[in-house]
Amino acid sequence: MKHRNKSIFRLLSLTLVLSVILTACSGNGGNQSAGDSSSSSAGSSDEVTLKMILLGGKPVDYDLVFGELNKKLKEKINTTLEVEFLDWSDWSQKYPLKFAANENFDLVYTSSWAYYNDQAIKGGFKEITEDMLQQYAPQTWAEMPEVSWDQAKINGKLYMVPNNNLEVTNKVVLYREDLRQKHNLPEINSLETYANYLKTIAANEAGITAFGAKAADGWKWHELDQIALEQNNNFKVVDLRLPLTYKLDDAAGQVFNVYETSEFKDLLGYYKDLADNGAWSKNVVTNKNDIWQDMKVGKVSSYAHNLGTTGFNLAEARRDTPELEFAIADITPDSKKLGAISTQNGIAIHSTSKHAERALMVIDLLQNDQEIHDLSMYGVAGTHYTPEGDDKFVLEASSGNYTGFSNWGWNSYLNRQDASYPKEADDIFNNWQEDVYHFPLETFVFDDSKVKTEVANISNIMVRYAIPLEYGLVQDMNKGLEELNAQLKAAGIDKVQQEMQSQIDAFLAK
Amino acid sequence: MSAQLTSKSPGRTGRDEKLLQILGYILLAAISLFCLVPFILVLSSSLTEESSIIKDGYQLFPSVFSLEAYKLLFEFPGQLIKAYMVTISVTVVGTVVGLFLTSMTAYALARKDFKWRNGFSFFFFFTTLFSGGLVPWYLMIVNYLQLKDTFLILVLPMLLNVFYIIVMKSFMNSIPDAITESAKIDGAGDFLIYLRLILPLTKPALATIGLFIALGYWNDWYHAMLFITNENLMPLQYYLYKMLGNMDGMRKAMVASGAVVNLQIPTESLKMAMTIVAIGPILLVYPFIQRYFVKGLTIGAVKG
Repeated sequence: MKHRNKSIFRLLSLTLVLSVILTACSGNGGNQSAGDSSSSSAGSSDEVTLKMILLGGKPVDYDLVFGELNKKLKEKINTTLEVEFLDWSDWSQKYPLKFAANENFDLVYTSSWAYYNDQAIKGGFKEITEDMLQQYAPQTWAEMPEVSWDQAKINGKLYMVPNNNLEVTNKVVLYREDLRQKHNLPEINSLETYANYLKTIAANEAGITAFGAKAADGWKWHELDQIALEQNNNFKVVDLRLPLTYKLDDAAGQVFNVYETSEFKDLLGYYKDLADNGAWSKNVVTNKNDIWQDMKVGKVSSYAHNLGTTGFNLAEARRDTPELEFAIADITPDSKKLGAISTQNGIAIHSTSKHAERALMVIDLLQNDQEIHDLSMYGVAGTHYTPEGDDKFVLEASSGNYTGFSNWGWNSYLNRQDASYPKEADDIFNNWQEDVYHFPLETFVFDDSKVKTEVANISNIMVRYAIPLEYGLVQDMNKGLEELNAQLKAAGIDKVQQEMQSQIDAFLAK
Repeated sequence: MSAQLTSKSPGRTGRDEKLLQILGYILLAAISLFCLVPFILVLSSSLTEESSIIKDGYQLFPSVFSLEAYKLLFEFPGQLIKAYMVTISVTVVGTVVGLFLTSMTAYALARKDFKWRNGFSFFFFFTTLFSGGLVPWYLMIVNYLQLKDTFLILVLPMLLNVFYIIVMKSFMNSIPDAITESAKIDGAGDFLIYLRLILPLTKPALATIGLFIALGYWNDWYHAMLFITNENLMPLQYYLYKMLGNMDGMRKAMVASGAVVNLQIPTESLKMAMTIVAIGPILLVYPFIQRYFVKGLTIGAVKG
């Protein structure tokens, strides 16, 4: 009896404690006013050590590389760097705490996916003005394209120095060239030829899954949507948590629900056909595996990803599994090419830093000084890598001892390319680079503060109704589509659409 | 299961006994297997080559034997040994001090002649219901108490657990008051009574709660994650957690940032190897304290 009471008590106290912990976690870090920011380190007369926070594990050879780097920095601007690393495993918890506790640091990695908006609004970053840039980061000011600055502005103010490296976000497919040749299939260059390839593999290659989707952690779209829905129709989904979309060439920026378009309906037919022919496994939506690893051992024959990653996959496969032959294909060759937003990687200055000027000087060198850039990006020449010409490098045996952390924050036009990077990926990129499409809404970011509940509900509906529909798990397509849109209406999509439209109109009116 | 069975013939009793024995053994064997198989699976997976796991899934016997995962894990044995030392010392210090404090508190609350005991009990319990939240707590520890990167911060937060105090107290309630009374008459002070009489009598509870506390310290990575940046103070669990989390986190970051990092990692087998390394010592210690454990958990009223 006593024992039972005890366990009931234990349960009760546990649930109480848990509920409290859960509710208590939503506390927000206090704003801090900018502290004393007297310009004590203008010029480089006195020696300064700046603290920098980067994401990722501390590289094994940190002391070696940064020892070298600090020698050079001291020579040039009488400054040294000391880096604190926030491991990938827990950076997202520690990052806001560093600001909330107002810890002492000067430089910090940030990006659109690493609290940039959040901390800028909370006052965690120092505003960087044009005067400051011209004075303390003249090379960056000269080299950075106008559009990159614009993309990094929040409410018209700049809080980071974005990276300066052009990337195209369009997706391609990686597939098995040897299997294509084995079955005498035509070249893969369109949605039709790709579907043909997938269906042939599914029908004739036992034990190989034709198409693989990466581990689904809350992803709300079919893995091919970016290619088949967006690129193919030159649509742009504004916010990946919502099905709201505009046409790239629509100057008015009219937003619509993409699930209600005839294009989406046609695409459902395309997916259903693939699903019925067994192009992907039945449990594709609950997959937990790393697709690329599955492809390397020959379990999966194709997947969709961005060009950079598939290029590296190709190089890796040629090195490790020469018996399997892979190739990359752009199956929407006529689509408009979109550049990555500049805030994808950048460095910001802590609002309470006493050495903002010196911090900018450091960023300027990291981005634009060939010697310092090489050292900070690739390590010590001859030990971690060997430079090849002006823009290539070869990895050395101990390259693994200086990698895996976010030195991408100062990516720039000085970046070198791995010499083993496949030529065909490079060709595709150069081809794309010529016609990267810029459009007025490129830098628009949806602010969901007024419709948070609706956004969360819509996201849930997408996972529950749209995903099974797109992977062909719903027998009656038309009914499924009606159901999906009815559910979205109930979840308040109209309200979100109005909110977004008014924000876009205001954005375009500026 | 004594021999007081209602059956008449001794032969049948024997047969029943036998049947019971057989059934019992079969059942126990099945349950043991349920516990053992996953462990064997982990062990074997840690010794299997990564690509073979990806191809054929986990197996009970390694189809392609490989020590790669352990190699990677012990690549920097200095780090691992250091982490082990930190974990062991934190666990020992935390468990000893924690037990001492827990049992003292519980004893004070269990004494019927302590006037404020209900008030105090309520006060203890009440504090478990509300917390200031992560940020204020972090601020307090880092800025006001200056405990960042200290050995203390690994020990202090988990030193006293109200639930353990309550369990301990209810166990002590089963010790007759007469013992305390008689010792008092013999002229012993409160502390002496606690030390010489109460503690020996609560051994099973001490062992049980001690194991809970020790396990808590052994498995704790959260405090280290928040407050430890110095590599010399990194406990084992956090070290392992970091190794794994870095791989997953980096994959996600690579997708988000468009960066490509060339790192070769045998993740699945490595996870398994880590599990083995992390539970090793506990596996060794457990058989020695198991008998107390069973006793302490199943204890009802006054023990004989």
